[in-house]
Amino acid sequence: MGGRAIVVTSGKGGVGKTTATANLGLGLAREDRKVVMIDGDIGLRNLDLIMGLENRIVYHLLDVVRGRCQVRQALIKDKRFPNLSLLPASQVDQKEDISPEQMRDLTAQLKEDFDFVLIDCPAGIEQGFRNAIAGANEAILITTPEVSPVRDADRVIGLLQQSIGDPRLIINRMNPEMVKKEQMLNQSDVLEILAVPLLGIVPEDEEVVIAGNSGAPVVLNERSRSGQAYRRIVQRILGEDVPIPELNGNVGFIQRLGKLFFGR
Amino acid sequence: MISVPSTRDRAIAVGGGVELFTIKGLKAGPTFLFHDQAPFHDVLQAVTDELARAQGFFRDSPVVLFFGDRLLQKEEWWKLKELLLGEGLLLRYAVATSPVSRELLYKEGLPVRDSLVASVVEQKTAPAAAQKNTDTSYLRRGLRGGQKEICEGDVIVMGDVNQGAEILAGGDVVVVGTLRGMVHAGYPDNKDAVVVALNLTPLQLRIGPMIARADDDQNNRRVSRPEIARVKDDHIMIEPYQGKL
Repeated sequence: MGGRAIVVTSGKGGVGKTTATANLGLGLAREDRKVVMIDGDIGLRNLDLIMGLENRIVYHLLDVVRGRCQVRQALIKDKRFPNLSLLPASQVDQKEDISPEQMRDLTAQLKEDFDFVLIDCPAGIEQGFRNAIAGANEAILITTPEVSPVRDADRVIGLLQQSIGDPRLIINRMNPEMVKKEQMLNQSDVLEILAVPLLGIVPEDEEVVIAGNSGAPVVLNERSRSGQAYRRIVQRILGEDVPIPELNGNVGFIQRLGKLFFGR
Repeated sequence: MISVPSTRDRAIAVGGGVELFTIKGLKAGPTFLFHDQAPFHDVLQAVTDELARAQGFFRDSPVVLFFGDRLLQKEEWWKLKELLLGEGLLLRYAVATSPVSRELLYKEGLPVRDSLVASVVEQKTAPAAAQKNTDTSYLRRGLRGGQKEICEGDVIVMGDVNQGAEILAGGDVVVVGTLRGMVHAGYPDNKDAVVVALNLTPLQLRIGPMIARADDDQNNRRVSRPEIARVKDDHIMIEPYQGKL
């Protein structure tokens, strides 16, 4: 029971859960940790694609649960890091085909062999969500700085607090230009509403899209700004005290000016 | 001069039966009536004498101050305030008709009301509402989206009530935090219920049978002071919370 089981969740779909899971998994593997990623999105699997491992899937999560194979037979080793594995979801089954108890047992089993078990949670708060959080003892919550993902995130925090406790927050796709023009919620707006610890901020970056299509997540790209943000987040997960920089350096100053002038 | 329904009176008469200072026990609580024509110096002396005679009877009592038509000077108010606070009185609000006095008192931090009669009516209804609500729900946390709190009595929330959260209360709702979610106080038809929050910014608010919604262009309304919402003239009114209902 040595490893840490962390669920990556959001409530709303399309805010970057799967991309974040892939980047955190690779980032932790880069730091020589033994990592397994579970794709909890049964029926709508994507994590294998983002990781560029789709062609290697033989068995999947449901096969393991149904006893058709051993766990290690279903695990796919990453092509870059041998200490990183993926347990893919089934594309033909449904969320209801597995129970929270089965997920808890599976996660417990994986924690014995790995330092980190990352669970990619499906969107929504139904059975798929309950399955994904069942075995986790930590949660990372992804949101974008927009009104509706933040509201869904708030709902999810309420549910997480009943079991796992406070999640740590990653604000994804922060666009400094839009924040400056007050077209987007800023960091403090989001934190004021959600009131949970901030794990990191990932700037909007078109390289994330390119990376997603090419199966080479940004955390491996030394020049990418979002890749740098993910590497810092990985350091924080490992317990290091890495400051969260203000995006674009002067955004904080502009915000403060705005506060002065508009009294907000 | 002063026309107020009197119950138990204690007055001192000085010089020809003019009551310089009267204490009345009204439903609003003890009310101090100051003669509004006599020289303030004489009134002040009468207050001093009367309070000395009361021997600390009013210590820690919340009192209402009635100034009538008097044009109150700042120095006069300071002397009176010093005297009253020195006796350990708690000042609830003042009733004054002169705009000058009203502004002075308001600036001095004392809530001002138009008339005593209205406040008597207001106070009459409040205890009835309080009696009906027997239990209070105290939440030592906030409410997040999707969470709901239902209580026949009053609800106190120590934390934020976020959008998508709901509170249904038979009585008052007090939010020690930011209120963004939906609150229905005084459910189903108690118009005397109030909603108090450190930051009162809900998109919709219901009190008894009334529904108010935020202006469409006021989506991001933010206030940095406590506010109270209550029903006045069949409308839900929001005003700064002065530390008293």
